[in-house]
Amino acid sequence: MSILKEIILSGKKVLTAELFAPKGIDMTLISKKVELLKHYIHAFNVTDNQRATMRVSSLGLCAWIQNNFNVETVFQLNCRDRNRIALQSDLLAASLLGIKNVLVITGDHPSVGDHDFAKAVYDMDSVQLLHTISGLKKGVDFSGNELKGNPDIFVGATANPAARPLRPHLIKFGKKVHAGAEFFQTQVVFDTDKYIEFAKQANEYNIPIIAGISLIKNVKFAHFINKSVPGLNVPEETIKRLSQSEDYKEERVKIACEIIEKLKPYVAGFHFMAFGLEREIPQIIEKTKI
Amino acid sequence: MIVTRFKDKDKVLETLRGFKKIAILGCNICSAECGTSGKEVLEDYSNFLREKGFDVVANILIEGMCNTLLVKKDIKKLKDIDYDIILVFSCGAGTQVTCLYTKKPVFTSLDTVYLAQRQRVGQFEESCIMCGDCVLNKTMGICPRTQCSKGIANGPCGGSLNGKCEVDENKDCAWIKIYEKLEKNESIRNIEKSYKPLKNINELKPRKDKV
Ligand code: SF4
Ligand code: SF4
Repeated sequence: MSILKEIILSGKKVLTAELFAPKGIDMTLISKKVELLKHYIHAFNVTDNQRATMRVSSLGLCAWIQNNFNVETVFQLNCRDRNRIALQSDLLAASLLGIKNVLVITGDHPSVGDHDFAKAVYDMDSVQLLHTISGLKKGVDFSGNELKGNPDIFVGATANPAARPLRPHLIKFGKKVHAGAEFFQTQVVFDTDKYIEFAKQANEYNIPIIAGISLIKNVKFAHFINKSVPGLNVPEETIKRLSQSEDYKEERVKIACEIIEKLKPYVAGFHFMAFGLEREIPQIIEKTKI
Repeated sequence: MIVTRFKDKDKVLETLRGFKKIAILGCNICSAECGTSGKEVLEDYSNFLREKGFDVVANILIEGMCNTLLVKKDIKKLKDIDYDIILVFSCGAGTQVTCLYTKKPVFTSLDTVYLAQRQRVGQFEESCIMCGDCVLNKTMGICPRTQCSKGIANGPCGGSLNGKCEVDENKDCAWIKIYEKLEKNESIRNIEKSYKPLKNINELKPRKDKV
């Protein structure tokens, strides 16, 4: 069984960290990050050509990390780059390589990335892919053909607690649960009120939700996020706090800790997206005693 | 209607290099509607080609070049005319139909882009990708395959924020529009069930129908 699943079932808070796959095969930086964090977190979650920029594939990097560092990974699988055949075959490959967790995502549109006119596949969307994975786990592929050897996958989906209007997003959340999602990982949470409003309704499905936590490097970075990361928004108040504090480095850790404390009663764990500030994650984990 | 756009003129000239006598055929329906064909357009283009040293030996407007019968009839006007090639101003279907009725090379001056609604003179918007599994009956007439940037059947995606689409903050998220319209009509249940992946759009091409 996947460690991620075991911890979630045990009721302890699960901790994961996102690794941005590099553009190129120089693994120096990634290796440093993994070494730094592997004793603090339970699994590394590897992005899959995030923001539609071409990088090492999530599948390849997950396998490489598991082999070299003996830690568990979460394979992000986007619907943008693969048709229904490739999606399923990559899932089987992942299972074969010992990757036990998969996070299903729709995938940012190519127009926001570095290969503008790439063909966007979206042959399946995230809901349809979840249905398909449920089938694979039972030993049948999308077309109803039998598999010899079923993949063992702990499958998750994403949610954006800040998206409004909320109801259509909750309807989709419900469809994902129905399609077989076993856990959820959220987009970075900056606005805890919005999160709690979301969680109160989403928790009715009784499914573990891992909340995304981020460190906002500085004010410039906050503006960058607001401008160019789909679905994310750093509240003005947070930006103000960062710009007015004497020590913004201390302030950004404080902000992250406060968010974690507020979310604790509502989540199964935390997922760190540190945007280059991985070294600050251990202090956050220690300070919040998660 | 089918929207077409002009190819870059230099590219067209490059294609025509080595030929001298050009017969022009243009469609008087969709292409004329979006300003890539029609009487004036064909005359202007003929003058442009003459300036570049070509002989434009015919200039024929046809009432719908996707119609094989019409093209077959009108192309007879070229019977006694000496021409090297035909240059077409129509959608890709019209160009291919023309190929059926001449042994000479046929080239097009246009790129064919999408199936549109005409909003007013000269303004068009894509409305249908001809998916073969129409869901308009479930989505209150809003086409998710076309209006949603990802064309997904179970939206909204995670990039939808405050009713806007992740690819462009000025573009409405199709799935929020669908949701709002369904809610007004008390038909939310239409999007509570999961839609299956498309089938018919991936049928073996070219698709054919006989009715
Ligand atoms: S659902 Fe399909 S057939 Fe219907 S309007 Fe949209 S693309 Fe066209
Ligand atoms: S934001 Fe809405 S319209 Fe844009 S890609 Fe996502 S679901 Fe489609």
